[in-house]
Amino acid sequence: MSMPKMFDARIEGDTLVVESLGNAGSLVGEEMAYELTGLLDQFEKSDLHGAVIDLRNSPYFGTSMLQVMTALWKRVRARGGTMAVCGLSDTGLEILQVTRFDTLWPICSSQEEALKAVAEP
Amino acid sequence: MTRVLVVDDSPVDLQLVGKFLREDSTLEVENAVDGADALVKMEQTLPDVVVTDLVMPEMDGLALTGVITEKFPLVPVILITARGNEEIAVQALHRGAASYVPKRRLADKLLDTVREVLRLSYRKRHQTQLMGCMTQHDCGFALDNDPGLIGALIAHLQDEAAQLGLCDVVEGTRLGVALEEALKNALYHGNLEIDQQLREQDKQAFDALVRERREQAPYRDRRIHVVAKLSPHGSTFEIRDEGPGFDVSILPDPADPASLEGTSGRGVLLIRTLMDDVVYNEAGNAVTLVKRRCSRTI
Repeated sequence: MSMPKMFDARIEGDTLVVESLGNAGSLVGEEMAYELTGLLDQFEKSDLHGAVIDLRNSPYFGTSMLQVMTALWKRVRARGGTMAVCGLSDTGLEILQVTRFDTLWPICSSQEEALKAVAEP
Repeated sequence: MTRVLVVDDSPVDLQLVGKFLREDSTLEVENAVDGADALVKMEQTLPDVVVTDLVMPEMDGLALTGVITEKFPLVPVILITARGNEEIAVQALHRGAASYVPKRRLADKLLDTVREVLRLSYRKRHQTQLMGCMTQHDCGFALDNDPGLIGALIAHLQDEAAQLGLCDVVEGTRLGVALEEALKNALYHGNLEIDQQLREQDKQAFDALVRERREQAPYRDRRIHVVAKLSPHGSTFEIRDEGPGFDVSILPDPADPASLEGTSGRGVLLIRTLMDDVVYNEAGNAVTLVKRRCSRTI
């Protein structure tokens, strides 16, 4: 049995926008991470410069997710771009703050704000 | 008496359904003329079961089923459907309806369906009530190295903690994240002895090694032992793997700018932040997590 799709990805200008779909009913960090790994390839093969990760439907995540987010961010940074995160729950924000990733990625309250943050030079 | 709330905008149908239900003298039938009326009446006195027509103006039976399932999860809903509405009936079942009866089968099926649904509902209600009386829950697991079991175990422990009133949704989530990190450490780094660095450098190689070691001695024979002790005042979770153990003190400091881009040490940091107390054994292959009852649930 295959896992339900957990993320949707689309391109806005030169930014990859990744949205969680809320299919993660329980902690399934490994599956989420596995699916996000496919998005890394998508970014690698394109000429995109920025990325937005919208986690509004994923109230929690652990280090598996953080690892893939870090990997995506490194690819974005290598192209001189920015990665922003939005739609965080209180717990999601706490996780980024505890792990200090909030110092690396702009944390935005909405996808629109995140897209603006990524577009800024 | 068992209360049945019948919802239908047609006075004729209300009368007809009421007639079939009153054949059972233990049932007390009350009527509502539409979905809004039904919800008002449910706020006043909770029925034991709701029987609703599908097609109604404003809020139809499908929408009403959704609202009742969310607001009154212990009250079962039975839908009455007309010919050709079978697909919608299936949708209603997905939204939480307990059952449905085709209009043309009311005479021979309605009463039996109501009785069967009530029987199941009482059982569920008593189970819920019984769980509310639980004062302590201790359990133990010996998991093999299947990552798929981790999510299932966490969901089980979160449910138990919530059942005991130990934590609200937010604290339950924090508990889940900490447990996930501790269990993944026990699985990947403890039992399978795979270095975190490999995961960061080459995810595919990491996954391949996980698959290989899950089939290979001595790794495949190792288990993750979990002992959970939950009470309304707090809980402890002892997670022990059968690996050689590790020295927690040598983990890189995630706050160090030099290690900011990696994720090593962040799992342990998360565990320490999200739990009230964290103690490793001397060998470094067992960790005890302590969660006290959060003030929001007191």
